[in-house]
Amino acid sequence: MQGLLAYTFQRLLWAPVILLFVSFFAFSLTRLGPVDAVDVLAGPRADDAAKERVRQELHLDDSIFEQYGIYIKNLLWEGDFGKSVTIYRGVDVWDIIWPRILVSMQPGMIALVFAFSVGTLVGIFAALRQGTWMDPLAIGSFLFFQSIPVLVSLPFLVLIFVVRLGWLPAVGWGGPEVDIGPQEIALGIFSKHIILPALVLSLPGVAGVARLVRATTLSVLGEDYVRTARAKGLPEVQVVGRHVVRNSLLPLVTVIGLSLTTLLEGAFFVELILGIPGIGQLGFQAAQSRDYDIILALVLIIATAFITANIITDIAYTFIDPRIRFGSRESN
Amino acid sequence: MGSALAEPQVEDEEGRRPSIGPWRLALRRLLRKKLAVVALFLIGVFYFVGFFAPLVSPQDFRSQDLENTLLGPSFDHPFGTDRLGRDQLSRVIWSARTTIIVTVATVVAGSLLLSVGLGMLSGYLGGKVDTVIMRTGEAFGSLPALPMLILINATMRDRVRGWVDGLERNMSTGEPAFLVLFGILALIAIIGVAAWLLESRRNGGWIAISIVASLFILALWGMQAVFATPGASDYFLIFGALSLFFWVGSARVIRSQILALRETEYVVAARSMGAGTWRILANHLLPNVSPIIIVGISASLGAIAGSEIALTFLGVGVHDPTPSFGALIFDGGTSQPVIRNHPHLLIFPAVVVGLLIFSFNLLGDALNDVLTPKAR
Repeated sequence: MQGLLAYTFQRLLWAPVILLFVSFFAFSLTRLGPVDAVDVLAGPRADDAAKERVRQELHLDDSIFEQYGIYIKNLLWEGDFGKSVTIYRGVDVWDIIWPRILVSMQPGMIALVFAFSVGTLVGIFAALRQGTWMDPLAIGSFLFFQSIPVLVSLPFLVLIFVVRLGWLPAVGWGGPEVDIGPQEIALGIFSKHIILPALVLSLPGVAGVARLVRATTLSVLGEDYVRTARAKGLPEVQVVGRHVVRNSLLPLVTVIGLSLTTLLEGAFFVELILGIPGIGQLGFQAAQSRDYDIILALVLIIATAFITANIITDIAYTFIDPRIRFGSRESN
Repeated sequence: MGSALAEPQVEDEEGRRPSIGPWRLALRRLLRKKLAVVALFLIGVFYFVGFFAPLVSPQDFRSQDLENTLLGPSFDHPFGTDRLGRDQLSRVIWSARTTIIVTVATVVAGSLLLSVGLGMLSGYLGGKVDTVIMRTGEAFGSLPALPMLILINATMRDRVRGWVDGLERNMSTGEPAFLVLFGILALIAIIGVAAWLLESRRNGGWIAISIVASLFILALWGMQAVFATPGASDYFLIFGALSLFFWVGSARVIRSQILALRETEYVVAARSMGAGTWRILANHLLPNVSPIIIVGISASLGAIAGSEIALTFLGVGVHDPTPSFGALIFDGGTSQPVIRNHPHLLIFPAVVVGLLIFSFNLLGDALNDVLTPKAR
């Protein structure tokens, strides 16, 4: 446990360093960008004095390190991500991003649950049918979906389910509205709008989960205690349910972090194609209209979420599986 | 069938091995997997068509025919035409070229140079070098790649375009550019010789590295005709940004393998006989990690191709008129009227992309089975 505590501490100390590195990297990129915020904010007919005043306000004449210091100070002490420059002029970036995070999380969560439950079932099924034709068929068919990028599969699903069959609503987002402060957001979870994005986002993840569960289930099936359970005459359902599944699902914790990546990257395309007002769509708009502070804020928020998720995964894994010792990490 | 196909791949020709070499064995195993052969064939066709795009494509990808816009597939235009009457088949073929340029450049820069170099150095040297390299890798690895790539491409594009244009101008004007080139080469030579002297002349590794670096720069120079084509700056930016994010995974794997190999008898023996770092790395360790390198590359190819397409789709990759699958799918697949009335604009590029990435992944899986000893 000594090693684990030290490791946890080390990871926690290391996280802010990575975040500082990332934020400085991202910040300098935005300040290198081609659009001068002054021209936009001061308006087309501003004279030099007005421009100078805006420059002063934005601290654009200081060195990049001073600008970065001011940005970080505002961010940490006041939670201020700056203001949007082009898309929503003068609106606080946080007020723009916050509702969109809530929207993006809805299909994301559903997809995560769906990918893990379906993937687990498929994986266990394939492991129990090892050696028959059903095993490669089950794994292979989902591997196909894993290989197809979301931006390729989604238009096809739209073509089939929306355009040809008409089962699902046309693109957009809807549902009961909830007021969360800066604006109202729609809870798409309670409408048909959630189906297509959640489905598309979960498909690539199913194969990964299924393969992992299949591998771990197979290794557990070979354990002595499973043989013992069978030998003492337990019905197969109980053997699988009680002795196999419980032990084979532990490593799933490790892939949650990975699936976050898939979900997030998928969100960009899903929201863009389906017109869902989430962070992916916002990121696209911001990149198009060069509203760098929005992208910067998005990158920082996402990076923080990722690093936190990674740390939690790592630490959770050591608690779950005592065989893993991070003291000897250097040699693995 | 195996032996006839295996012939050109044989690497050992010194005649010292009467039995089958490991590479040939691996190739035979690979050819026994039917899916992998199909995947290899599809990838081969894709690369062939893309590489010879100027010869293969029926029309110029830019030539518009405004009287024949949005036609469905026909004999004249097998894949139909887009909203400007451009031949969709030609655009798909030229998009393949874009994918090829980006994948090859990223594999060379990111996978081969960065990940192999850094992974081997990190594993063999250990200590501070290892810490710096691995911590940097961890920082990049813990980042969400797509938002970072969007940020990099959105902000750096004009700058890189400026650099490339400047480079191009300078390269073609001759004299000052030649001086710059000469200066860079001289600098590399000085650094190489200095490092060699500082290392007490034990081996020629530094000299070899500077020669390779000089050759690399000269090769870049020689390819100025390629880079002078419009859109070259986009390629530069994309493969540069992708390389930043694609070296981490395989560098880690290579490092851990080197850590194990470093203590083997033959490496210890070589060291005790006075072999220098570079000699051990190049002669003893590199051949032993090359299967891993190949597996790593084949596993990342699909992701690299997908990333370029994704970036272009989001408008921060390759820009019009340079064709890319990302742009084709964006045009064909984002608006419902287009999907409804002209599905061919979506279907053909999407099927090609889907098949390509699926083939990459199948091949990667097969190579993993064939080359990783554990999995056999």
